[in-house]
Amino acid sequence: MDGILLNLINGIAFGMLLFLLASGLSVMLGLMGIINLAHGVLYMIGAFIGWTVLIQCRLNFGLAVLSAGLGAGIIGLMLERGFLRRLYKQPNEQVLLTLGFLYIFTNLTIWIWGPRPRIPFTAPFLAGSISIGGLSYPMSRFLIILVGLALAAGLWWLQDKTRAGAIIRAGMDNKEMTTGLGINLARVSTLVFFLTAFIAGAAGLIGASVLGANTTNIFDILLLSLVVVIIGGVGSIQGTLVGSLLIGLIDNFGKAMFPQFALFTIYLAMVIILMIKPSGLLGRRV
Amino acid sequence: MEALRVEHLSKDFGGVQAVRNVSMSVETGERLAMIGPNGAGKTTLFNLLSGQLPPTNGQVYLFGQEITHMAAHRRAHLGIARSFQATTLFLNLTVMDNILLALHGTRPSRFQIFRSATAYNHLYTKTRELLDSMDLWEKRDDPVHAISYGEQRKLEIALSLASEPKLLLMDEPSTGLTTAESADVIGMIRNLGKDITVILVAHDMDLVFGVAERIIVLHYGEIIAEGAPEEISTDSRVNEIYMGAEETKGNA
Amino acid sequence: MAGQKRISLPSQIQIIRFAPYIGGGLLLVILPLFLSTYIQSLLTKCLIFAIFAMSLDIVLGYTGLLSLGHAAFFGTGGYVVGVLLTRFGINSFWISAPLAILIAGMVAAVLGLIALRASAMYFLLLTFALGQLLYSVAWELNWLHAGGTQGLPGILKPVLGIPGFKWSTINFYYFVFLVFIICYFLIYRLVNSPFGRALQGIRESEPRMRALGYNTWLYKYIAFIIGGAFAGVAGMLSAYYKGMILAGDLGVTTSALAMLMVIIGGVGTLFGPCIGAIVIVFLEFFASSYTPERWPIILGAAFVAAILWLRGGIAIHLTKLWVKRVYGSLKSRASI
Repeated sequence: MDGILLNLINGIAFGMLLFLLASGLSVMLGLMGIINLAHGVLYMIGAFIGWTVLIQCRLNFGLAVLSAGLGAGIIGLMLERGFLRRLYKQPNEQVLLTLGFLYIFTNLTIWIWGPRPRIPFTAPFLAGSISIGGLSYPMSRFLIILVGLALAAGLWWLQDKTRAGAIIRAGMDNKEMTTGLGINLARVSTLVFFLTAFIAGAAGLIGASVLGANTTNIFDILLLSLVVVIIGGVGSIQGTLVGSLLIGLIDNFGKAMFPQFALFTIYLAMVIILMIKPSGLLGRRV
Repeated sequence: MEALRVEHLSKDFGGVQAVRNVSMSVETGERLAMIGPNGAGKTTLFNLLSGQLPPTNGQVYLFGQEITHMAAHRRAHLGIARSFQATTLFLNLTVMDNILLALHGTRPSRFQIFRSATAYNHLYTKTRELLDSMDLWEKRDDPVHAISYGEQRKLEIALSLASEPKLLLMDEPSTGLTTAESADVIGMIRNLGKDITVILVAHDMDLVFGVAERIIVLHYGEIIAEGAPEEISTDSRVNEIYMGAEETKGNA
Repeated sequence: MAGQKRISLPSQIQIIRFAPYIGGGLLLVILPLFLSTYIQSLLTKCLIFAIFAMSLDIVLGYTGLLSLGHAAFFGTGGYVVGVLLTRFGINSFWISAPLAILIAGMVAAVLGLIALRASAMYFLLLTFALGQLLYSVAWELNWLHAGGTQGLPGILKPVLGIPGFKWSTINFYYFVFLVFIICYFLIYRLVNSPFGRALQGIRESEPRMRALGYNTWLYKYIAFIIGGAFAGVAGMLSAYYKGMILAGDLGVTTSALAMLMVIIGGVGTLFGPCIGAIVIVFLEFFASSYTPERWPIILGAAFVAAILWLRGGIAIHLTKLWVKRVYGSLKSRASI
């Protein structure tokens, strides 16, 4: 029973991490029609930058989050400005291009930080645990869940309640018309890109309490985020949230029950999901 | 003999009814023209007839056989051929390659893996014929993206004739052609034998009145008028829709 | 002038047209005799990957299907050979080779059924996932592990059954070269046949092809299987060459490598991917000599550069150059 509760919390926490990534992917895809596999890289870099600031330099957590986010944000911006802008509406080329960047940045990270992964770490004030019903659960998990919920709430509020949200939604549906109305879509898209990159980087640090910082699991996390976007539907915050939690739980329970075939289950899940939803990634747009 | 019969054909696109309860019948050898303003559903109807889209409701019969849900490629083997409004030619291949592809399409040789595609001597005459009829023989080795738009449109028509179809669906065949070239197309359609049935979608009234024995007018996916060219050109509803623009052209 | 019969080109000009092929072929036959065994070995690797790249070209270049899981068939070919040898003790080439090709083709038949259900965008992701699925099986299934690795080491060169024959670097090179020539010839016939032309038609305009009477799904499916079978050939040769087969040979890194070769070399030509293979193999060679740890960066950079700038591929530029300068000028001089 306690094992199940622990797995539940871990699954939800992991799902929230996925949500942090997947929401960025979903928004980028919906708003700019860009598929950015290198998004997973931003997560990884965020984790390492965060490690350097928090553990190596022993600075405070807030600063670590900020630097992780900024670092990732700048790199994300470079990618968008320099390269992805040119491949608007060419999804295959984008996938391949960002695959190339995946290799480049993964190796760069190894170059800078060395090949050794960093074991899960967090700020001292988060290192404790909370007691529920006589058993203790790591506090850091709850932080992840909280951050995820906060982001979801923020995005939902932004999307449904504000003018900016309406602009973004309109942009998702009809780019030409929105531009014609005089709204500077390019600036909005740059801002959105930066924000999603920032979130990915920050997520890397926050998630480091579970996953540490390493260069080997980014493929898997990226994959799972992609699966989430596919299930959840592009541009739908609720869908992405539900999908993230679902995949997080499946992954966690799957690993707990079949630890031997972890990789296999992930890819099998992806194949099955892609088969069931073969109508095209650009879900809302035709 | 009835070449084509359509019964209560409809096509919904999630709320938008592109084709609404269309019923019509076309006799073998007939020349039928479909006209109507943009968005009237003409191309969608063609897509339903040639099998590019499945209908939401209704039936399609080709020479008495039901083909409502038959795949597009199988309809080609039953004798339907289609020319497209948008350029769907094989742009990076040569003119000759385009024709060869069209010729092999309904022949068993299309599954040949070993022999060279150009080794089929009996197809040479056909190729020559088709390209000569469109004045494209000289350009046979040119890639399609390099020939003029008018020549591309003519190639489009040549491709649709390659399979020796019994029912020819032509979607805006003369778009982008000069008056002289359009006249060529009119003459060509006139010269097709009586065993070929032709359904034409066109905005060019010269073409329509030069070729059609019967005209169907579509508006918002429905047939609103049907009859001989003279009747249609004087029909008040039709003129309303076209705002009189064709009145000055039609009877020239 | 219309109506005038064209003069058939003198046979010398015809030879000029094939000169690059003949020249290249001769070079590949004679040159290795003067090179060190190390370079011979490298050239062998080039030819193996050339076959792999050509097999992907059938699917990607000619049919227009972006498959990121092609290494699944490459690896399958290698694993069949490895399993037959290490688990069943079968070392005869004449048994292993047909089985490797057959099973690779069968795997392609199964995966193709799944992948071709999807639209273009999903196809890329689905082939990726399927390739990784096979990779994860090889990684996690102990039956496919030996010698403490996630793979099968100890694959010896095949037994040809020729009395007194012993393998050396140079005769393995000629063996691979022979297989390469056969594959090149077969694929050449394929892409120039009506079937091959139909594949190109599908790439250019699939709805048109359907309207013309082609069952396009069937064509894509058969192309996928044939491409898979030839990839199996390459994988089998690779297993013999390296002496082992690893789980990674089934995965996305290997698939991406092949895709890079096709893109760099030139989509839609047959010798383009061969050039791409040579470029990548030598690139990796130089990288491993100077900066082995930074090879992924070079690979990634090559990917980015190829996507952004080399869309036509090297082959197209070379072909244009050749046709314009040499063949074209000779041709115009002849048709007086």
